[in-house]
Amino acid sequence: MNMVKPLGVGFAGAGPVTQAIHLPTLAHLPDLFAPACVMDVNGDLAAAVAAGAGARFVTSLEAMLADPAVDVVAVCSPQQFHADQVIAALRAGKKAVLCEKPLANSADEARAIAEVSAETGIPVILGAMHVFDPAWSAVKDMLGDLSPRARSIRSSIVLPLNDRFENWATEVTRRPEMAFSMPGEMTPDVIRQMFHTLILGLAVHDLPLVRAFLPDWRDLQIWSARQLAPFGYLIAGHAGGRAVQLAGTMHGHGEAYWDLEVVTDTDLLRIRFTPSYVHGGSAVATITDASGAVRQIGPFDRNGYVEEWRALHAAAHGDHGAVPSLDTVAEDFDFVIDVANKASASAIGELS
Amino acid sequence: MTLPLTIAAEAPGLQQRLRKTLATLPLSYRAPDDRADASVMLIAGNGDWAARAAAAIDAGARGVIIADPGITDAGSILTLADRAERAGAVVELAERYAGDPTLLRHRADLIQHLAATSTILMSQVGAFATPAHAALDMVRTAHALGQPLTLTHVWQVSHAVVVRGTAGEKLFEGMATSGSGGAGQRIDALGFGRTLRLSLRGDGSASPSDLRIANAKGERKLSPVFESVDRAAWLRAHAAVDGGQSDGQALRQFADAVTMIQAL
Repeated sequence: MNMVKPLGVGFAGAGPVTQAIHLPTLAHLPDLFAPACVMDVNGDLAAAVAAGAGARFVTSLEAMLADPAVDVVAVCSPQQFHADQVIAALRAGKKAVLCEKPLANSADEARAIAEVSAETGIPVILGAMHVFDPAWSAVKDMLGDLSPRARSIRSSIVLPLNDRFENWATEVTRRPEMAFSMPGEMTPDVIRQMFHTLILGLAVHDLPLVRAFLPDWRDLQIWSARQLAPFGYLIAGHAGGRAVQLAGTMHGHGEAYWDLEVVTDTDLLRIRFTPSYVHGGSAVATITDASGAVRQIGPFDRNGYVEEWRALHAAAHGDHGAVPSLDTVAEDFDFVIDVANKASASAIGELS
Repeated sequence: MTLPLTIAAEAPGLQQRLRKTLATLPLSYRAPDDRADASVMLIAGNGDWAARAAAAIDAGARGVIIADPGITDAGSILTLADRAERAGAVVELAERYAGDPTLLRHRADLIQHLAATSTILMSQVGAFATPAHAALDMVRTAHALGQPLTLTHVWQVSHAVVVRGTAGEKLFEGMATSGSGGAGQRIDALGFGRTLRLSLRGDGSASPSDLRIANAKGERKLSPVFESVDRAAWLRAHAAVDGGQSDGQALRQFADAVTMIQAL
């Protein structure tokens, strides 16, 4: 029997994403990964999370990167630290890096990550669970047929607040305080910040999938962008003759609807995703044709989280084809930033 | 005891539609021996349907049923409303979405829950003659749901149209796409404490639409009505003819919607 030692994982950041997403996911993959080190500037938090995971804890990235038991790094810190921490992990010669969404704060940072990854030959994958979802992977195999015929693309994310899903996935240690107050005055700066937060925090999950149906995504024009109360966005636009609607909002009740819909001349593709933090299998895709016949893809027992870690494992062992190229990831990020910039400009224009 | 009305279709293209509905209402409707003697005329809702409906009333019809009424001259619709009221004739609209029997059965419940939402999104898939026709379908559904929708913007690409507006304090945005797979109209009404998801089939069959309301207690599916749009419209028309109820109000609301869309 060929026994391969599991890769040791170092976590940069010990918040709910590490606790409720990645540690429960690694429990599905004991032959591939073992938590090795948890880093957080809050030593008590790092210690508590590490104790639960059977790992050691540190309070600095340098200390974690110096740990020889850490083979791969998962960057789960606040997004302003992503680029620096990913690049530091690459420079430290780790086998692979998983970075939570968004990859960076700017297109320049994303390009810098891509350059260092190319220079070091170390793969970086973005923790975009929908990109790795098995149902989406199956749909991707049909993109050659579906994408050229797409007429409209619609992303609808209607979710309860995260805490209920976090609480079902784990026992969260020290949840950060959520600031959820509306600003007093909607100035252009407030609108710009709000749209960037919403797009990079919520819409970002589906935008790589939306882009797959928009070959002319660089020509995106926004017709309308509105903020939805109390926390959400509604954006309509078009690119290459295809209409796009992006809606995302969070609410106070329990039902979750997370759909991506694509209308072609003869088919309606609908992918229904599970909410974030749920370890319950994949999305379900349905393709309805003109006769009303429905072809269903999924659910599969693995979700996108498991698949992204499996891809990371393969990439860490030299199979770089297992993960999207960083050029693709960087283009996805360009699209995310483009949507955020153009939507906020549209919303500011409407304000005036 | 219900006395049957005689019904005929104005055009050969409606014969199959007429036969299918007639077969479901054997006590309420009969085919006339002579088409000219029909007490109710089924009118196709394309082109100048209002003028053709008025002509049918002038020719003696006690009622007309408009199958899938679309955009036409608003003045002709108002003229039809006036002429029908003067003649004591009934005009019934058989609208594929706004006339959905499940929606109409639960209309009061839906309106009550919609009051607790702040955004209405609509997505429509199906063939449409023009963007204005697609916009009309969306506006009419909103109105059927008791929403005082006013459109302010319309945008379009070759196979899709997006409209935006307000319904009282609510934001409304609808997107219609021309396509043949998964046809129907889906309405998502979003509120912090409540979400409505309405999937209207719009295919003219007796397969019911799917209406769901979610709040803190969970998601509730409203009981389905396994009846076609046409059958429900024919029954309303029969009841109105029986009761001598000639009311042009629905036509005037329809004309208002047409005027609003054409002004965009």
